[in-house]
Amino acid sequence: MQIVKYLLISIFLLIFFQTSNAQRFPEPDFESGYEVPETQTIAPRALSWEYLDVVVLFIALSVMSWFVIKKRSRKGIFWTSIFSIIYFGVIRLGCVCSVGSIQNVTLSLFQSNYIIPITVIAFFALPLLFTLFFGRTFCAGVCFMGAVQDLVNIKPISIPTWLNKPLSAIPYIYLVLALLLAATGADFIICRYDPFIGFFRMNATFGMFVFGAVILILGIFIGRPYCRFLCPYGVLLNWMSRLSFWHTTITPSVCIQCKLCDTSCPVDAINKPVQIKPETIEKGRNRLITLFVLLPVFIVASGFLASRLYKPLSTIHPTVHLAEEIKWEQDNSKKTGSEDSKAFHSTGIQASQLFSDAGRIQHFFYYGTWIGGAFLGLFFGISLLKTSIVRRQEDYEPDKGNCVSCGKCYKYCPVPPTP
Amino acid sequence: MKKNTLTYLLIAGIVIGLIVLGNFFIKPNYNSKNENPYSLKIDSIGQIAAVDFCDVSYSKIDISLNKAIAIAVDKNNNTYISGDNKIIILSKNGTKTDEFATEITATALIVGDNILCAAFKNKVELFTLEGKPIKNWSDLSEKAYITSLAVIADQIFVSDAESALVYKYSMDGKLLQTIGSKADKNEMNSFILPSYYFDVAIAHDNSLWVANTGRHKLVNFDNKGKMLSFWGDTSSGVEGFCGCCNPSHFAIMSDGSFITSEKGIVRVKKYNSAGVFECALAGQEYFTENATGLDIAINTNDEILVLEPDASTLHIFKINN
Repeated sequence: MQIVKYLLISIFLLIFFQTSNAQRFPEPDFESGYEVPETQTIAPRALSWEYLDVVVLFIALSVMSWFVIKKRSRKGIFWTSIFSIIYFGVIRLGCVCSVGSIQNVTLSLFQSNYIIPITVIAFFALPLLFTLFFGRTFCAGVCFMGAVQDLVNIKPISIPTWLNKPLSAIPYIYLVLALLLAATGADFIICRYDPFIGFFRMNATFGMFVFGAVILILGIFIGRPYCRFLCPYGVLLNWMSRLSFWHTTITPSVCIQCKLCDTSCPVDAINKPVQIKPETIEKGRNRLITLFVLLPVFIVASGFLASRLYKPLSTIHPTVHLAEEIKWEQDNSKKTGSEDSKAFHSTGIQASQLFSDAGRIQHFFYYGTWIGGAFLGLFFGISLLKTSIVRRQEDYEPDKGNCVSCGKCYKYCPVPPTP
Repeated sequence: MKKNTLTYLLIAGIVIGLIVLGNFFIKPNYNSKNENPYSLKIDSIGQIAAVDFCDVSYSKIDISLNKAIAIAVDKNNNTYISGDNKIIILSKNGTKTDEFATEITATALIVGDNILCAAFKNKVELFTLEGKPIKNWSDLSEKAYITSLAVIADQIFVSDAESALVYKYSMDGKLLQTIGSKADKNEMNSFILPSYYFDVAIAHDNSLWVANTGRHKLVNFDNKGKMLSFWGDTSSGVEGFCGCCNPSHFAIMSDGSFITSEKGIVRVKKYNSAGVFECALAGQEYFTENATGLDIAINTNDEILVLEPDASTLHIFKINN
């Protein structure tokens, strides 16, 4: 298993170097009369192949869930991960991926002229449904991004709670931003800033190459840094997993509280036994009441603060960006000379029309940032509320929300499976 | 059929499929009600097989004390029992013939040649057999706790559980010798006492036996305090001793056999003079649950008197030949 792991890491490093070479050389200037052929646009994949992808996803999720819950086989999880990297990463080049599909679904809800393919809906919904039944078995290795990080995590270290908790808030912010930009049609930032997809397609920009490399190098020591501290889809999976019917367990039978699994989780997702003292309950109750009263304040304050960002955020949208450029030209009575400006002037569309469109989009951003900010305030408030609620726990159990069902804790449990 | 209907049917199909998939193929076998496979199975510990029991005659006497502590017998088979700040005297047939008050309840008793020796925590006091005080001394430390006494001729051995040492005194209270070593914890004459159970007795060859309860051993010393031998195995089996401090008490029969009592696993057993297990006189069924401090005395008829402190009961065993 170790040899395979190192081999895969070597292959990935090789891909990085190839990727970084991809756009290094400019196109040669031919003097022999050779004509450079026109750039060909690759035809979309046949629909049947798209359906095949969905079937493969369904089977992969089923097999992974079987390995995670029924067989409790880390080896099975590992080889399913390898398959996912090869099929969804190398062959399908990571598109459509479930993580990015959030944006397609959001865009389809807000833009009536965008028709979302059924396969994209399937890629969005199937992992969520499976998570609702079996926990985050999608994250275990069907998601090729999670699988890659899982493979490189050879020297896992635990992150202290004081750092882990604040970093875990980033996916919520990222999700809100991604939804807002997707809903307005401004950008698909999850895809644009996907740290791994450039490797599989061998077309990563230098910046994204560095970003991806940093994530992978961090991933050697910190279990799944992208999944835990960035992935916006992970937020939805986290919620679903908390409600899951059959979630994996550390022990195959009964927890004997031997503490052997205490530090086994690479993503720090093991809940430890908690003894509740009467004074803890008393303190917690008082703080709970205070925070509950403050919750609306958090929501409104956070919504207000976020709404102050609506103008700079809206400039990400190309229409608003263009409108600002044209406005600047009008105010300064000169042209910027940019391609966007030239293109706009060539269309003959009135600037007032452009400004009106931009205003409408900005309006959308205004309410979007309010709602998004309020959601983040709610998240912040609930996170604080949770610190005041101490639940009695007697056994070592996976944190159903954060556990990625990687199965690395299985071997630490000395209790034999029930015959 | 409308496209929307098809979509809903598809979603419903997938959900039903997942339920079926989960219930029949993926659902785990285990449940949280499984038993801990590593839990200590103590049900069978302490159970004594029928073949390991001695053939004994048994009787018991209610001694009407709230809490009895120590027991001793004299050569006329009168029994002396301390409890409730007094010492009561029972005749050979078990009827109370006399009693006398003491400042506190005696923690140990032994009868010498027409003299009753009693220990009161850190004090030793000598009485006539009728209870008249003769002499006392308390040169041990304030924290000393005397758990047992043994008498030979004009010498008295005093076991102090606090210091984990045995002191030899003359009958006029002069300290003659200290037995036991604190210097080398690996030696058998270094007494390990997790709790205050530290019995001593004199064998018929006039040698001293001391219960090294933390080590589950009985250790033999000559009159000069030199260690001669020891025996005892650590085991939860009937032939050995287990727990923190066993045998908690012992006494020696006329043929040199040992009678031991244990706490934790409550039982009374007989070993021959070489320390080989012979048979069990009594198991848990004779005593109340968690009975401790079963002091033993043996009279001239080799009747074994076992005092159960909390139940205030005197159990009498006679091994049938």
